[in-house]
Amino acid sequence: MSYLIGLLLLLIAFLWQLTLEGFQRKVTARVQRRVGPPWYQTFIDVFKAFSKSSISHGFIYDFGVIMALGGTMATAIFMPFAGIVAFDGLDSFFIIVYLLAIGSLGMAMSAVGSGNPWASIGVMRALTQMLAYEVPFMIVVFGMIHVYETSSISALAEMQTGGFLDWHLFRMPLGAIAGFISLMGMLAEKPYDTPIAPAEIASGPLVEYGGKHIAMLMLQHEYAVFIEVGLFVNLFLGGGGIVAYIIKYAAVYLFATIISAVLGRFKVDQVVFNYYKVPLILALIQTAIVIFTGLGVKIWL
Amino acid sequence: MYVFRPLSAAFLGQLSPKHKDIKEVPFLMQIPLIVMSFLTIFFGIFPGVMLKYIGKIQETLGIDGIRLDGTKIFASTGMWDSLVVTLVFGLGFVVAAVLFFMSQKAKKVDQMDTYTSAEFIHDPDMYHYGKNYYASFENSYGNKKRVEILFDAIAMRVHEFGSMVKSWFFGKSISVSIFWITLFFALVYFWGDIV
Repeated sequence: MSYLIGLLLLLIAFLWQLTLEGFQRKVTARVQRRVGPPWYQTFIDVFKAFSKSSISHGFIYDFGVIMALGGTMATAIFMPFAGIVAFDGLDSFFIIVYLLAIGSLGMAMSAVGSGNPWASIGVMRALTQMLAYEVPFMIVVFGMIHVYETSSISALAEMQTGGFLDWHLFRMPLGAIAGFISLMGMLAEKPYDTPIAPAEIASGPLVEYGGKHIAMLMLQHEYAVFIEVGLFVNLFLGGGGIVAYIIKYAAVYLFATIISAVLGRFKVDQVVFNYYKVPLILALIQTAIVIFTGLGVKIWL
Repeated sequence: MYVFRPLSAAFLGQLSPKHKDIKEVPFLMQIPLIVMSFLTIFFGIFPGVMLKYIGKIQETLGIDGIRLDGTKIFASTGMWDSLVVTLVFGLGFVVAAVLFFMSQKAKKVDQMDTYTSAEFIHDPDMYHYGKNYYASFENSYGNKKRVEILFDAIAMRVHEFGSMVKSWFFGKSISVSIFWITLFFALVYFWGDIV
């Protein structure tokens, strides 16, 4: 039964995230005063890519792609969506972070396996960026896990039920800001799109892909976005029922889009310095407040 | 760094042309590798087999043992079920593999057949990931102040001092060396009687 719910979650994630991706492209276009593609363009892109021929650079190149999509899909199954938890008790933050890394590493392995220098540069940048944005995010979430004594994401979302003043966005504002900046890095939105920099390193890790490989990596990206935005919605905006969840999800995702539509790109060293300055300090202050004073957890309005 | 060099040289990128004649190791060498791989996977899926003993050790030390229930591990903030995680990962992998093998078969291309935005490299060996692996680190840190310079200088001075001391006692003649060695042992032997 749990496995069926899991497969259903995968289907929901596919339909919902690809639709929203279409809206994202529309919103970006409108911000930049273009018309933009129709909202179902991402579906067309994925299905078209699946129908095209592709090239292969050997076993690791193929295997990495399967591992990337498989790992990310597995993570999406564990991710609570609007309170739906496929495996009770296993929606732990640690499991999700652990499995999400498998997907990213599969993609890195496959891209580097092509031997293309642009891909190697892109992967190196992506892993460096990962090292940068994970530190503030982890500090905030570990503080949260420490005070609530649970790492279950659905349980952390349930802690925030009630009015919107119960959301961690208002209870832990500094942490939420740090979390959102980290989310921008996870989504690789501008100014943190250093790893895929199309004009600079020819889309980095994706440079060699075509046909079914690129289709699978597009899907992998969509599932990764589904997990990352879902993490933010559950941890800081209190999850909620289906309607509330998808409204919050769309709001967070489109807010990130609007910010990214008007910004330029950081260099990779600027990304790291940027994350280790303001977001890290905000995260540390927030965690200290939560752990030592209990403000926002035990003491509230 | 030392681990990543062989890892990337062995698994990443296509086979370098200079390694064309390399063969698989004999079966006797494969056996321990296969056994090790299976043990690693086995303990990854069923960590309880090993953690049971670690729990016993903890109890003898007076610490609360790790709580286990089949493949489930319980901690203060939640639990971990390695069998379910493996199965779900397998499920994701199967779905991805089905998508992969349902589509058209990919065409195998040569290492030189890559898109490099007109920055063409003519030597396939240069494409290999293990080639000149530490160059970027040498570029980054080669001109920086390094503590090794201090260590090298100290080592050189100590070495010179040692050679000087050696030159006082040990010349070209072997008989002089034997004389000093004999004298040293004689002194050690008779130390108590002399003082």
